[in-house]
Amino acid sequence: MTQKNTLKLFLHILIIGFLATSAYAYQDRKDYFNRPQFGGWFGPVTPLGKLSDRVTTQLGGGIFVRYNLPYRYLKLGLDASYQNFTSKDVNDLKFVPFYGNVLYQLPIDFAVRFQFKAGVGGGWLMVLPDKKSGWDPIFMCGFEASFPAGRLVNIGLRIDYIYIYEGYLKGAKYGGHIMNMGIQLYFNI
Amino acid sequence: MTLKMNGTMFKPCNRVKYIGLVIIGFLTIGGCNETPLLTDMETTRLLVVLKGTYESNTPRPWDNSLTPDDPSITSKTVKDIKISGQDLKPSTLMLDLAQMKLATTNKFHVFSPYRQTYLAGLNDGDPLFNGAGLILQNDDVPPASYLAIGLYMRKMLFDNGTRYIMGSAGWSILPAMDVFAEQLVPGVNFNQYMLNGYFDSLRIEGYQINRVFPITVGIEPFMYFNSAFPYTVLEIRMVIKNFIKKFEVDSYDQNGFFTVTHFWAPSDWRMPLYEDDTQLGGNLITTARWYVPGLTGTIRGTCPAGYYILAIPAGESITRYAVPNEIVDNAGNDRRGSMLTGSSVTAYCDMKKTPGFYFGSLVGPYIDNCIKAEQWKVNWNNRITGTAPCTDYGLYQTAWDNYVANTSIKMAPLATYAASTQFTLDNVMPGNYDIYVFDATTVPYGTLFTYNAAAPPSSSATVTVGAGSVVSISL
Repeated sequence: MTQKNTLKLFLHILIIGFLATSAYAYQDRKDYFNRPQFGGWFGPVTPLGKLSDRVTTQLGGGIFVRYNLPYRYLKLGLDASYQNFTSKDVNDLKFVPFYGNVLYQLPIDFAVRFQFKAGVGGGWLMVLPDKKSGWDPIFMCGFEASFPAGRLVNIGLRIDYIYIYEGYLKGAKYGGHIMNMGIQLYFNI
Repeated sequence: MTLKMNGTMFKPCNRVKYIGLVIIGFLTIGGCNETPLLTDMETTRLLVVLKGTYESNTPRPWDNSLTPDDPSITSKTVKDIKISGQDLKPSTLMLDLAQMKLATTNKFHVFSPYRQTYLAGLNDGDPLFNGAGLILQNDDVPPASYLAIGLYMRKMLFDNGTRYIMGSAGWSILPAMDVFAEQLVPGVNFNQYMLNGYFDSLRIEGYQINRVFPITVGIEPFMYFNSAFPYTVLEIRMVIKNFIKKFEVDSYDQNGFFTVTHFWAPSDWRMPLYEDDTQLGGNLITTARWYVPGLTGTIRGTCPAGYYILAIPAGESITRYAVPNEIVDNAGNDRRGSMLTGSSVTAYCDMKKTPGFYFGSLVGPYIDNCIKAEQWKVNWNNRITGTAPCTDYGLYQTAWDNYVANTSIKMAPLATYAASTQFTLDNVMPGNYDIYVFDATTVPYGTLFTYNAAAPPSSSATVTVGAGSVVSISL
C-alpha cells in the first residue's frame, strides 16, 4: 500500500469513526432521556375562575422525579411544589400540591421532546389569616416541551392545569382552578 | 443481577422504589379536609346593614301630614323665596357610596372597595326605612377589634328640589337637576353642604375637617370580628326618617341672573342654619352596633302607646343620648340660639358668618355682595354692645365650646317605637341595659330626644339580657 492510499484509508476510518460516534451519541441522547430524571421548575402560578377574584398571581416553584415505563414513550412522574397566593382582599392562600402523573412523549424524532401529562394527587391548602388548613384531592393535566442539552441536562417549558376538588365536602360550592407555567431544568440519572 | 431496560442499567429494587413513590403520590387522593376552604374564602361572614332610622327595629311611620311649606319642615334658610304650593316633598333618596373602611387602633382596613349606588323610596315599605335595613356589599376582615367604620359617601341626593331663576319676565320655576351615577337626575346633592359645620369653620383646624368623606361612625361597643361565627351583623343607622327639612341656597347663573334653589337635607337640629347659611355639617347623626345572630336576646313588654323605648348600656347617663331642652323645649320652640350666651333671652354669641368676597365680573352680584357685607356689619354691631354678654372672643369661644359639648350626643344602641301598648327590642347582645321611655309628642318632627337639664330623667327599668333569652318588662 502506498503512503497516499494509507493516508486515504486513515482519513476514511477517521471520518467513519466520527460519524459513528455522532450516530452513537444521537442514539445515546435518545436513550439518556429515557433514564430516570429529577429536576425543578419555577414560574408564574395563576389562580383562575372565582379564585382569581380573591388572590393574585405569584411566582411558584417545585421539584419532580420521573421514571420510564417499559413502553419507551411513557413515564411515571411525581411532582411537588409550593405556591403562595397573596390576597386581593383578606385571605392569602398557601397551596402545596403533591401528585403522581403519567407522561406521554410524542413519538416524533425531533430535537425537542413534547410530552403530555395527566395525574391525580392531593394538595395541602392553608387560608390566612384564619389559619385554616387541610388536604384536598387534585387533578392535573399539562404539556411540556423539553430540549435535551447533552447527556445529563434537559431544559424545558411546562404548562400545567390543576383542579382542586372540594365537592365531597358538605357546603362546598366551588373548586379551585390553578395554572402553573414555568421553565424547568432536570437531569438524567 | 442487573437488568437492562431501555438502555438503563437498573437493579430490580431501584425500580420498585420509584414505582412505590409514584403510588404514594396517587394515594394522596381523597383529602383529609373537613371544611370547604375555597368556599370559605368566597363566603362573607360579615354582613353590613344600613338603616335610615333612629330605631333599630319597628320604626315610627313617616309623618305625611306635613306640607312642603309647613314651618316644621322648613329651615330658617328659606327667606328669599316663599311661594306657597310650588315646592314638593322628596320621594326618593339616592346614595352613592365609594367604599367602606373599618378602623382598628392603628390601621384602616378597606373591606369594601366596591362603589355602590342605591335608590330608596321615602315610604314605610323601603328596607332602608322599615327597620329591615339595606345590605351593603363588602368582603370579610381579619379577626380583630374594630372601633369605627368609615362610609365614603360620594353623593347623597333627595329628589324634588326646585330652582327659581330670576329673569326679565319674573321667576322661572324649574326642577333642580344634578348628576347621580353618571346620569342627570332631578335632585340636589346635599352631601356637598354637609362637608363641615359652622362651628368647624371657627376652629384653627377647621379646613381639615371633612364630615362626609368619610362619614365616621363609632361602633358601640367596639366590634370583635371572629370568622368562627357563621355571621356577624354590623348595623349602621343614620337618622333620615322623619328628619328631612327644606333648605335654600342662592347663586347667580352665567348671565348674572339671581337663582334660588330649594333642596331637601337632614334636619339642622344641632347646628342652627339661618339665611344664606349652607354649612350643614354636623347634623347627620349616626351610630353602629354589632351582633351575632343566634347569640342575641330580646326585650319585650308593655308600655303606653306612642312612646319611644331606648335601651342604653346600664350605668350610662341619658344625658349622653339626649340634648338639654334648652335647645328644643316641649312646645317644639327652637331655642338653640339661647345656648350660645349663657343667657336664655337672646343668642348674642350666635353671629352670622361673613358673606365673603365676590370674585366675578358681573355688576349685579357684586352690588348684592356689598349690600350683604354692610348688613353683616350692622348685625354684628347690634350684637356686640357695651353691656351685652358676648363682648370678647373669650366669651365667644366658651359659649360655642359649651354648645358643641352639649349637642355632641350619641344615638341609643337599641331603640324602637311602640305604636300600640306593646314593644319589642330585637337582636340584643348579651349585657345589662337601662330602659328609657320618651313620649313621641316630646320629639317633634326633625328633632331628637330632650331632657330637663334641671332634673334629668332616670331609667324606667334595668334588664339583663343573655344569649337566647327573652326579657319581659312593663313600663
